[in-house]
Amino acid sequence: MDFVAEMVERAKANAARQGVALEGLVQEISQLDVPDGVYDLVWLSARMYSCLPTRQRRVEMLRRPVAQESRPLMTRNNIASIAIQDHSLWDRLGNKRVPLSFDLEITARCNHDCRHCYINLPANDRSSQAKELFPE
Amino acid sequence: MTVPLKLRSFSPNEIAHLADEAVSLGAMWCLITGGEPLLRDDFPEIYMGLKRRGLLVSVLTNATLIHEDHIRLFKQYPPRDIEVTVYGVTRETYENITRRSGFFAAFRHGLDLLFDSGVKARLKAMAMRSNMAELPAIARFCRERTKDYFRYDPFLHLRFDGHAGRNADIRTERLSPEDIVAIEKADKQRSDILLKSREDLLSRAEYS
Repeated sequence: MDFVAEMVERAKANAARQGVALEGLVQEISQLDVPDGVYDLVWLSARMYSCLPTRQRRVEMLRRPVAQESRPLMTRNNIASIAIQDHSLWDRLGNKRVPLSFDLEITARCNHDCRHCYINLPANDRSSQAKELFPE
Repeated sequence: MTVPLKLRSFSPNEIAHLADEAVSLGAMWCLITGGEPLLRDDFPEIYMGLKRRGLLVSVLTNATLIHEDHIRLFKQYPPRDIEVTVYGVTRETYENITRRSGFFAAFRHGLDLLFDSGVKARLKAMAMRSNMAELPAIARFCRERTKDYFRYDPFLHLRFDGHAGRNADIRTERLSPEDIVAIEKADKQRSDILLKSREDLLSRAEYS
């Protein structure tokens, strides 16, 4: 599923540069089903993507001494799974102040009127609805 | 001093602009929340706009407005997770907190739609005076339906709009630290994890 065409092109270029064959299609990330034994090329956002080996390959890599050529991900050989700190993405983020996640409150309106709520306005609140349609 | 606060309501253009900016700075995750986000008719467009930018998208909802169209959307383009708040597991407690009659049935219906269709959802609870007695039942209800994770939140923030009467209600609903500790201790699954984490923390060289 090609969500971001230019990312697909960049992923292909990166794969070529890394000498990795691209067999699967680039897919929506939560539905990745690349066959075992190949690398899946995962993009995480329109500006960041990374090359991850599939689970089977990660297990193989853990079982044998960590070879220099398979080091982009492995920094320790005694762990059962890959912590995010062991992923090269983490290094790239290390010194940057990246807003990794953000919340969007897309409306202040609610169909409930909870006793404890700090934000809710009535579901039919006119001025709130207007702001949802047009910038102030 | 009263400061008029602008509540967060974004137009589609503003959302697109914000998402572009966040992604260009390296954002990977976005939580869509509100208010109740499914009240917006353009929710599917907003959701897909964020997905198309490559973000991992989470949705926080009370589930009362979930219908078949949402299920189709979430099946085809799965969110990273959907988090549903469980205010109570009886109609009485749920509608006493949410102050709208008939919505407990809507909540149960929405939740069933999610789980029956295999859309992954997480459940969470608010811990407050009005549902304190029901919290063990709420925890059971949540754990019966989801394997991965259940949490509750005892932090009740005051109003953005500074409404004095409503702030008084919120203060009344707040639990004391002692109440919260008692709730933690009564929930064996949580207290075991808490004790274990404490040991892990204390065993680290930098704290010993």
